[in-house]
Amino acid sequence: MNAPDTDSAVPLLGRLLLAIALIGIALVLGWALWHQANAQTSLTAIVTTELPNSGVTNPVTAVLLNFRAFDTMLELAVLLLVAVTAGMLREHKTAPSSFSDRAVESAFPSPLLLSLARDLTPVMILVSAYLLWVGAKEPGGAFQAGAVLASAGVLAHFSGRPWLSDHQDVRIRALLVLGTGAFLISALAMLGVTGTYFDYPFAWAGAWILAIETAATFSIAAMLYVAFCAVMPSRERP
Amino acid sequence: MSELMTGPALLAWLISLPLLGALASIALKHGGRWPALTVVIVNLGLACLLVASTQSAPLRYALGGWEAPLGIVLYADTLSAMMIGITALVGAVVSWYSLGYFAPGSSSERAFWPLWCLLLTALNTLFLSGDAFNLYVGLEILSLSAVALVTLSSGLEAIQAALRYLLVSLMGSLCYLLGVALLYQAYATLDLALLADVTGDGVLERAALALMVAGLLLKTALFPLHFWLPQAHAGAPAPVSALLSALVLKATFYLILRLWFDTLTEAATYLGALLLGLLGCAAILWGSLQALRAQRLKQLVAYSTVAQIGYLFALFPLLNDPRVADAAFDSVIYFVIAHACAKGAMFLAAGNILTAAGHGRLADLRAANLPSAITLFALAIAGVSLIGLPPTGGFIAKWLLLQSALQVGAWWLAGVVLLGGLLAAAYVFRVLAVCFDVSPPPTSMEASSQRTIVSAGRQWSALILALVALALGFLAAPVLDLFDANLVTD
Repeated sequence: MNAPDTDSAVPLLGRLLLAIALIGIALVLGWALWHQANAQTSLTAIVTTELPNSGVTNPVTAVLLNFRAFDTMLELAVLLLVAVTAGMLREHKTAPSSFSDRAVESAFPSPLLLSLARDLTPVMILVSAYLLWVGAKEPGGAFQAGAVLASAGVLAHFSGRPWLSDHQDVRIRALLVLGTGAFLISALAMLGVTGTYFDYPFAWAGAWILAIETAATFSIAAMLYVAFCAVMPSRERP
Repeated sequence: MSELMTGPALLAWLISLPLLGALASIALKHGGRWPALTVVIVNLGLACLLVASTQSAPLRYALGGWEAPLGIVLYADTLSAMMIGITALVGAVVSWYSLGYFAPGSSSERAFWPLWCLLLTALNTLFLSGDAFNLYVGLEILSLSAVALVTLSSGLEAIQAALRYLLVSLMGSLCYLLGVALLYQAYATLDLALLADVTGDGVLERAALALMVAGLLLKTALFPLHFWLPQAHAGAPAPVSALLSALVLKATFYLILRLWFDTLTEAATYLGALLLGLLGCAAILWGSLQALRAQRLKQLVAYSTVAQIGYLFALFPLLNDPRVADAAFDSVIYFVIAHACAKGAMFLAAGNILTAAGHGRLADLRAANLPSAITLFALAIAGVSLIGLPPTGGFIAKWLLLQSALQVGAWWLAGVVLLGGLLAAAYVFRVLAVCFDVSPPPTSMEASSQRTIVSAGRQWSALILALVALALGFLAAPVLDLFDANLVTD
């Protein structure tokens, strides 16, 4: 908050000692890595062997959505947590006021922005859908698709036509939980279908993964958008 | 449904259920407390089931049917089961307390329930996951939800404490992650059991262990890395302080225990354990002295946590000693559960006193503006357990610690523990003395005459936790049998 003050508060000797300590740690780590350099192994071979059983052909998607889907579910929960907390702090209005005042808000958005939003939004939605679809085979997937979709929302916000005015809206809340919920429900459903948590039946694995990724895309877009709106100056308070 | 919830699938349920509760209470604009409360109660049942099922053999569950090293494996032995159990118990009582603490419909009440469910998800994940990276994700949820919970109390001070807590937690997470990256680079597996088989005592393992433990120590607030704790724990709302002190610190301590004694055993040296032990002793003395000097009630309780964390680490040299390792493990688990109950009770009682008196300045508290005897009774019992007097859980823990320390001739350790007990008595009696202070409050305290009534639920929940701490003193043998059924050390 008051960066210049804290900077000068650290004495020169302290900074010097800190630098020496950090260099020491870096040297030890470098030595440890160099010491171990001959033991180069990785999981790539196992992933390649099991890839045909995963339902997708992109190894990254296979790891994220099948082999380590549990991790991805919890990572979505982290994003959800951030979105919920950002919205909560906004409601509290305890955030330092300078934070929100710094962003300059234009009451009358330029017509240029408006037409840009009008022309670009369909393209962005299309790109987002493509990224989602291609994720099964090539680099892409829910996180990328969600980010593109959220940026369409940000553009709409800047051009004066925000997608939502109230982040407590029940629709946005539903979107927020959709991604993590899809993961969790399908994991628990698999417990009933195949008897194992997160174990998709082989024939349906590809379809399940696409469905979960679609839900996750909408959710990620909503989370990023809510987090963005939370740090923007509100329109009611000039 | 019933057969799906028993056996190893239980482990998946213990994580899924709180997450489901969090999602439901986020989706519901109002009334988010109902899914959360349901989850907390069912979680308590599942935790009992887990304690019972781990008695015969540890449980193991490969998620998605993918075995390690490709997939993630959940694992539970009696140690994890005890941690899950105490988390479920303290969590349930604190939830009951929170019903009366937050005004229904207020923005902090609506935010509390989803965040608490996410915190519970993270706690259960940390106790059950057998995968180093999955633990990192769990640590992230734990830290972020804990920070968000601290911000529930309004005021710039709480926000500042939360921000510092966030930065410290991030630093800790990154240190941990760097250690995980080193291990993965060398051994191409993230599974803790596989790592335990292949790791030796090379430079890399030592560096990785040091990084991971350092990161976790920062989150566990071992002296001198405790600097963030007093403000964060004292500034948070009372039920949140109870959760942070009783459970969140224990989760990161549990991970240190696992890494040190299960996964990277060969890389862990006696010298390192001795260092942790010395820091623990310093924490006992420093925390207690600061608690003696504290001006405010919750600050005192928070500094007492710094001291109590010290006991957990003071045991490290004994845990490394084969002669007394078993007794020392019993002592650790008893410190963890007794402190969870006693400190939970103390923060809940402190919250009641703060509500009744309208402030927490120890110098201005008088018997006249305190809540009813139930809260004070809870405070007294919890205090006695923290001091380590019989017949409380704290006494059993300290007794086991002293016994093992004397057996190996660690007189210095025994001396510090006894001195810590005396100091704890001094700060606990600072609080209890207030209850008998019938002198009129200072004239400047006119406002305190309008005493707020504290609901019965809040008073009884504090007492129940304190009574559990007391019961732990009588039930030492059966509780330790639950833990010793199949020991982690082999």
